[in-house]
This record gives sequence, C-alpha cells and structure tokens, in this order.
Amino acid sequence: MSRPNNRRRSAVERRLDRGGAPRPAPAVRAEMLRRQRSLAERVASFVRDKHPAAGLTVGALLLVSATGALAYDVIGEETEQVDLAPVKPLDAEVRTGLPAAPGRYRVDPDSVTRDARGVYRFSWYEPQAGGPAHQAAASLLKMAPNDDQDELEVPAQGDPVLYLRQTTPIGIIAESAPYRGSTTYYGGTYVHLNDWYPYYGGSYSRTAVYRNPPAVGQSTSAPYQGSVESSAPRAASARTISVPSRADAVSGQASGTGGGTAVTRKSGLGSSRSSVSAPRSSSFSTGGRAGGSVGGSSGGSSAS
Amino acid sequence: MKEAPSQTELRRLIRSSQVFDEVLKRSWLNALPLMAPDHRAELAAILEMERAESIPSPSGRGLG
Repeated sequence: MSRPNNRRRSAVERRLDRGGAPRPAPAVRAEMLRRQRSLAERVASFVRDKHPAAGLTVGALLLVSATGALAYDVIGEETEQVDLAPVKPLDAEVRTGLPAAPGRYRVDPDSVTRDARGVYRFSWYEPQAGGPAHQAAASLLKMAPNDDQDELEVPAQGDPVLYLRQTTPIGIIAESAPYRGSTTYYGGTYVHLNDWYPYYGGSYSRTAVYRNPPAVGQSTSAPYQGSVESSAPRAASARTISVPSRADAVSGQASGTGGGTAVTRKSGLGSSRSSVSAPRSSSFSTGGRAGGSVGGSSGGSSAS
Repeated sequence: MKEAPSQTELRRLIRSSQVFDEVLKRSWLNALPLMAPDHRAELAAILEMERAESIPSPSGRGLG
C-alpha cells in the first residue's frame, strides 16, 4: 500500500510546502520554534506556581510538546506515499455515539471532522463538569453558527444540530487504502486533507440547515470557506468530496490529525499517524487518524 | 511589548499557524487560559513572525 520515499525533510518544511500560503523563511521558522520553546519553559513554571491544580499537567505537556516540535523540525524524518481510497457514497446513513437524551452538549472544538463521504465525527461532553468525552459520528447533521461555544443539540426528534463558532475548523479527512475497517472506531486510518470553515467567506444563514463544503476550493490547498446550504439532506452521492489518489505520509505510528502535518489526536478517535500531502492533485496537508465504523468503502469513484 | 491579545484572537493565531503542528497547537491552546497577559503577548508576537519577512527581535525590531 505504501512505498518508501527516502527524502529527508523536516516535518515543518513538508507542511509549509503543502500550505499554499506564503511560507516563512527557514530562519524565521526555526526562530519561532526556538522562541516558543523558551516561552514554554516560563509558562510551564508560571502555571505550575499559580495554578497548582491544573498547571502542573498543562505546563508539563506544553513543555514536552514545545521541545518535541523543535527537535522534530531539526531531525526530520522519512516519508512514504500512501494510497487514498476512492470515495464511494455511503450505503447507509451513520449515526453512532450521540447522546441518548435530548439536550445541548459541549463539543471539543479540536475534534470535529468530516470525511470525504460526509460523515461527521466529534467529541462531546456530558453536561456535568469533568465528565469524559464521548465520540460520535453522524452523516445526517444540521449545522448552524454559534457565537460563544461549540455545542451539539440533540432534539427529541430529527437530526442533531452542530453549533460551531466561526473560528472552529472542521477537519476534512480521507481514508487510506486499503480500508482496514472494523466495527470499531479504531479500525481504519484517516488522512487529514484540509480544514473547512463553514462560516467564513460570503454570507450564510444562522438557522440550522444541512451544509456541505463548497465545490470551489476543493482542489486547492487553501482551507474551504463557506458552505452550500440545503434545508433537506442531499443525496449521499452529492455529499462526497474528491480526494487525491496518493499522498505523502510520515512513516511510523503515532497519533495524528490536524490541519498540518504532524499528527495529533485531534478527533480523539484514533492513533495512526500519517502526515500527508497530495503530490498529485495540488497540495493537501494532513495528519492521519484512525476511525471508522461507518459503512465500508473501497473502490468506487470520487465525486464532488 | 504590545498589549496582550484576547484569548479568542490568540486561539485564531494558534490555529492558523503553519509552523506549529497540531500537538503543539493543542498544548498551547490548553495552556492559554492559565497564561499571564505578558505570555499571551509574547506568544502572539511569535506567531506573527510567520507573516514577517525578517526575524523581529523581542523588542519588535527586525534582525535580518
């Protein structure tokens, strides 16, 4: 499925190549990472002293991440190419992991993704503070903008509504091939292609409607902005997004996601790393993730 | 140093960064509510370096 590629370029360099935006000079990039590492040391010390309850953990994680990012950029790593599964429309709608009781639930803003077939995944929290996050997936989902926080509304009847702030990105993800799906969330590997901001660019309604990424912009590396609204769900074949056939991925295993490359647990759904770009069709950024209890997909053609 | 940006503005800067990977973004986002205003201002200055053509010094002057 994959073919090693022995280029050795730093992780940040690869992400910047894919980005489309003007890339900062290497010296600027290196200086940014050095300075944020220095700042992280001071922040970690500060939060440990001022916020003993949470600060110790937050500071320690920050310091590790900041140091790791600097080292990661310096060391570089090998890349390999992965095949991306052709997009096949859903055979059946997906609705798993949603709250059982009607109501509104807080959503982790870094967890929201939409795969190329139109299945949304996100983490939501129980209303009481400190509760664990739950992962949910739904293909029939209304969306509406919200001003202050990201929330999921589960009505007594009908499809759930995802309220997102304007600044909350939806990660657009594709499956790698061959699909290694199982009936769990951890069966497959997903590759992050881009980010989608439904409430940027142009006008949009504030009512809860079904939304799809705009067709314009799907072949570029720029984040998708705006959305195509409809009061009723579109056919499954009209919800798919084209994906490149191959993409560069960072070899090895790690958790992953994100609008960039090096991988994290953005969705909290899995852990297969693959930081990706798309050498064939424009440049997509990516991070991999595991996922997938949704209806199987292999073969088929892409649509947009 | 410039006035500390709001947490919302800083979140936007962090999320839009191409240099910070997702792990790093997440760590800074988690730390954001606990950070002092000076820390927020310094982090904003670091992130704004992405748009600068030269490396600004901590006091705001370019170094080259």
